[in-house]
Amino acid sequence: MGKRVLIVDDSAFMRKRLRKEIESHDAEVVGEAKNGDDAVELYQKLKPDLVTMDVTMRGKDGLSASKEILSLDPGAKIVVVTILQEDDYKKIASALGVIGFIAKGDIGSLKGILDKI
Amino acid sequence: MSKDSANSSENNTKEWRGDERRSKESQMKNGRLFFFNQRPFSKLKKKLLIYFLLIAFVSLVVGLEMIWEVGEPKLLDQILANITEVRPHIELNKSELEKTFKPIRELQVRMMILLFIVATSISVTLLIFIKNIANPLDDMVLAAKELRDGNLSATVPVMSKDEIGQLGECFNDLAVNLQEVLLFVGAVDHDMTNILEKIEENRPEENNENRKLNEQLDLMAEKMDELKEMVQAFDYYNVVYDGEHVKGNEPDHILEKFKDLT
Repeated sequence: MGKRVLIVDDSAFMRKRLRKEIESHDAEVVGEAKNGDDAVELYQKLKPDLVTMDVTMRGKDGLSASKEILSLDPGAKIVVVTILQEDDYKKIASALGVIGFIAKGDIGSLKGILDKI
Repeated sequence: MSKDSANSSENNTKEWRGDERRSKESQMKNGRLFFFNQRPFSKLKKKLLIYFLLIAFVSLVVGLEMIWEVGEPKLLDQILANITEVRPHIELNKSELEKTFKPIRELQVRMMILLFIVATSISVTLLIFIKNIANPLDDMVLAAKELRDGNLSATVPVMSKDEIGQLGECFNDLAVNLQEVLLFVGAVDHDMTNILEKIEENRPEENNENRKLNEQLDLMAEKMDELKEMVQAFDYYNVVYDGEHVKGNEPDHILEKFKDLT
């Protein structure tokens, strides 16, 4: 109960959507970052149970931020949430060691991930 | 831009726009766009300049008039006349006169220094106004025009936390939201096109019964293509769409960064 989640997305309205979705599953949004640099900083400060990570962002991109977070904390649980279901992004994401890769149109599947962790 | 390059293929035009933006961004980083360079001399700057010139002109006229009046021989004669009127027996020689009027001469010099300080402050204030208000507004106008033309990678450099900075930040967020929505539309279009292709593969032989349905399927595929074209007509910020990096203006792309992992 009460999983702590950090949202990383450069779009304000997407962050709002994700927050609503996450909070509807009894999880707590402990922070929001709008680029990769803020994400790494907030991760270290907040140590959340789960990070939802966008890929393309102004500033540091989500995959680079995931790499950095995972090098700081190999146990970090990151789920990549992206519009673009590109195979290359998927390949990079799984090679980096993220726990999931979901489409923004399908954020309902966050529930399964939240239950699993 | 020459007519030839304007008429070149759309690809080249986009490339050119990207290059232009890149060079602009690097110039901003080097601080070369600090005051007037590269930015157009905007109407706002012209207005600011006129207002400040007006203030400078009035201060200068008042200041110079005072300095001139204080130094006038007429004023000194008047003072001397008043002194001799009150104390008729007083007679001053030249050096005594100069000593008497020395504070007035000093006052004149001090007024000149003050006038110089006023002129410098007016110039500095003008430059601060240009740097903190006119330049960010110019950047916003430039970015807004790019966004209007469909370039979603248009970004306003945010330099401050004041209302101008907040406006720039909101503008950037707006562009991000717009990109998000358009890409979502593009992704849905992509999925729908895939579904249509699968239906196409299993499409039964055309007969009188299913002719109408087939026509509607064709129409749907056509509309999906139109939608895709519309989505692709925008310039995006660092985006891979349908397997290739399209129209993003960011030279340092994510896929290049992770080349060894793909």
